[in-house]
Amino acid sequence: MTDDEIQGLLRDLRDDPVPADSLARVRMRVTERTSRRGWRVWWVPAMAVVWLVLTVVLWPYRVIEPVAPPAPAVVAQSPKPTASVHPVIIATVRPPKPRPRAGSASSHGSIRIETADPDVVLIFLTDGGGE
Amino acid sequence: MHDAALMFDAAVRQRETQVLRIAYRMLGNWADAEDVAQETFVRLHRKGLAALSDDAAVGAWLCRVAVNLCLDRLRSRSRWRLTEMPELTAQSSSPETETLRAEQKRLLLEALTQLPERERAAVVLREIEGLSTAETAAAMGSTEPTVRSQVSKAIGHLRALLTKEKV
Repeated sequence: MTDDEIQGLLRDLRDDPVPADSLARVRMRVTERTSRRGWRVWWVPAMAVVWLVLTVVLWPYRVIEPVAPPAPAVVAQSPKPTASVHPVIIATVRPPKPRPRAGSASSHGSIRIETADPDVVLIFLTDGGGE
Repeated sequence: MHDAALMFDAAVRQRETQVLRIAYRMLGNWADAEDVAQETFVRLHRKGLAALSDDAAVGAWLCRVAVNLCLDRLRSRSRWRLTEMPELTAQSSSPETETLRAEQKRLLLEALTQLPERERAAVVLREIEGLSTAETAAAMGSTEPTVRSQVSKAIGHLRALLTKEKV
């Protein structure tokens, strides 16, 4: 193959088509990146202004407040603490109740007398001997 | 849309095919070529068209940036391979001739990948893209005698490689 033939082949390569989708991708990405850059150009100063405003507004100023009079002491009137803080469960054994003897079932009794005044009621208690 | 944006868009549409083709010939695959073309035009946007005197200056500047980006990528690779082949345009009527031509192109592209980087850049710009020697030198940041020497050496290398392949 001669040099002229090689150069002819090289010139033929110039006419090879470029894929349309590659061109479209390049164009799309270039547009995307250049427009994004434009947005960034405005975004940075905008954020700086916002930061400045927030700094001024939220700066921790020292506020001198009037001294309030001391509040009167309030005595808490809570019940006195019991002797034991912790609850103590004391088991007690109750003595058995004495069984009433036979024939003394009515050893205790009461007589209720209602008067004309509904607020006055007379009650008589009787002991085991019926007295 | 702003005038500058319209002018930039027109410049992209006018030069995108050439920039993408140069990148593809230098790098050997479309994905990398797209990245380089994209970066080239973004840099043009940052620079601004107003910084370049005329249309020819825009073209030369784009070629220079694209070639430099390609050379950077090639240096970062240990070895690159031609992974894709473009569809070839049919320019001959005979199927046999067409097949032979396609095979010659395929071998030529493979041989192109084996050239030293700067020789490859000189051949791509001067012989494939058809830039003048002065434009090629400007794009490569070199001188015209150097470009002529690189193109001559590159064609000699291609001839040797293709002879070895018995085209």
